[in-house]
Amino acid sequence: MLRNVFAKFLRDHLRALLGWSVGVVLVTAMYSSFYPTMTGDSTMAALAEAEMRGMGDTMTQALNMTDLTSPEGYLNATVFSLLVPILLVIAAITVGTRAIAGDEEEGGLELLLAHPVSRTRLVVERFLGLVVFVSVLGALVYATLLTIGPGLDLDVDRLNLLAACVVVTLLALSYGSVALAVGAVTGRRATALAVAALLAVVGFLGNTFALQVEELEWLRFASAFYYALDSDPLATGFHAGFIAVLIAVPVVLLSLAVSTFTRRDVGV
Amino acid sequence: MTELAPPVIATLDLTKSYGRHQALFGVNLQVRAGEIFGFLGPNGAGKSTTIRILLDIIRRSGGGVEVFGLDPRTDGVRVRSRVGYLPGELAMTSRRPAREFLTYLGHLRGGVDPRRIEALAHRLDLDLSRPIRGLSKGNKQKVGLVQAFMHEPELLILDEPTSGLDPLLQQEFQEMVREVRAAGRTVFMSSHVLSEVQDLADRAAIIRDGRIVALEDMDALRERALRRMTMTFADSHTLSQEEFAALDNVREVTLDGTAVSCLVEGSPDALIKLAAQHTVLSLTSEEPDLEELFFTHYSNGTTEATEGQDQHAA
Repeated sequence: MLRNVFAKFLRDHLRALLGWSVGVVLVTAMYSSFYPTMTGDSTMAALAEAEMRGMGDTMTQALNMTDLTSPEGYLNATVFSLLVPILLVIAAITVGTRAIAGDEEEGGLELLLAHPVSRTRLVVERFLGLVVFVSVLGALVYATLLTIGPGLDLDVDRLNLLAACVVVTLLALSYGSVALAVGAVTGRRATALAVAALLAVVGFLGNTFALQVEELEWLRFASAFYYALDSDPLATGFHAGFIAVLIAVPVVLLSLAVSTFTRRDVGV
Repeated sequence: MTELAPPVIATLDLTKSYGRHQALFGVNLQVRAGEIFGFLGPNGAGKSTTIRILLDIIRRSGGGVEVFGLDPRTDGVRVRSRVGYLPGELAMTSRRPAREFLTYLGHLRGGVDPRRIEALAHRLDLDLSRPIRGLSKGNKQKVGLVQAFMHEPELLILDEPTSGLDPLLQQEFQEMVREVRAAGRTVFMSSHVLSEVQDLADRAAIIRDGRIVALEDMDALRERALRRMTMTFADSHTLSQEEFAALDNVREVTLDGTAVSCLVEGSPDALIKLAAQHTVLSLTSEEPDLEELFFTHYSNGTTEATEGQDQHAA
């Protein structure tokens, strides 16, 4: 038990992890359980259709709501384009902010760094803690849909479902890594939180609404949401190129965090 | 104390700037193996900055630092594995019990005998089963002391160690520090109050505005230590300002009705014996303030400080 910084970091965030887990499972289960109503009940389906017409093509396309009747289309529209990514991204940013900047501002890093723990080891182990944190949430989305999906006629290819959960996890990890890295560079909790949140919001909007504006289309390439969701993993499975980008982003941010954090003063 | 033994801590013209603000202006220190070294100075003088540089928590701007002959900048992990550190401000916000936290810190050092943790906690009267977050300032300080002492490090660096401890525990703490010295290990402790250090330390350096202004044996410092004493007597007829002022080491005597107030340098023995010829109703003795100590240091024109520096730089 608690032999290293990694284990201790997870232990300190166990409560948060339990809380987020409950939230993620509930949201996933709740939204997917509306599916039978959407297809079975004609009134509901008609209502949804009308709603979509009212929103217009651009809006529905932006929110990935083009097809609400197929399992993939429904899950994309509800679970995978909006709520779960947002929940996971928020969770990841919170944990990423605490990993360095939060603990530094609270004064906890000073005592830890007075122990025979190198700065590199500290950053890497806390980054791994962040990875495990978001992975647990991503895995719970997968497990939830796998468990309740068949009962709801939400049959999606397992591998594709896994792909969707993996990219959403990596998406969250990207923004969590931004928070961790900015915290490692600046030591300021507020800065870490603000930069990561801003990038996430811009990334989200850039990949959805900016699609409608030609001049803003470049924005999506700076958005992790693009690399995560644009290939429609739920329908088409894993795409090595996109996955590689989503892995490269946290890795690059980690090395940036390590190289700056090892060079600066802590707690000033 | 052999001058030949390599110093445990050595700094040479150590400087530190935070942007435009300079915190240290060439600090020179040598702490010998097996001594208790006091690091005195008012708040903001640069004590914690110096200490954090020793542990590589912050990085020096110039000059040299060696701990056990190693540069903390490049050998931080090796240096810190041999040091126990009590921060000046302990931030512990965990909801987990103190025992778990201490065990974890022990693991970071390769494991610490749980019995050792229990023994120290028992000594300091600390309940290890309570969550750290809910502990009072004094109890948090005890947790800090346990983690600094528990692995029996070669060097203890204690930043304001007795803040928040009640007098009984301060005694216990002093006992613990003396045991460390008796075992041949070294203690470097900072304080802004002379009294915390004066009974304990073998030598002390005084830092002010980022410079070492004095370095000497505690005996010498105690000799010079100023004390403000105020006595009230039963009746004023027999009192005279002159008889008090006539004493060698008594200055600034004021007589106000039946109350006599004065500054005593060094031992108050003569003053007490003189006062005892009258009926004393009350007697208060105020700690010599560090600032006052500096003041006399400079105004008396003592050369000890500069001598200390020279000897040091040599």
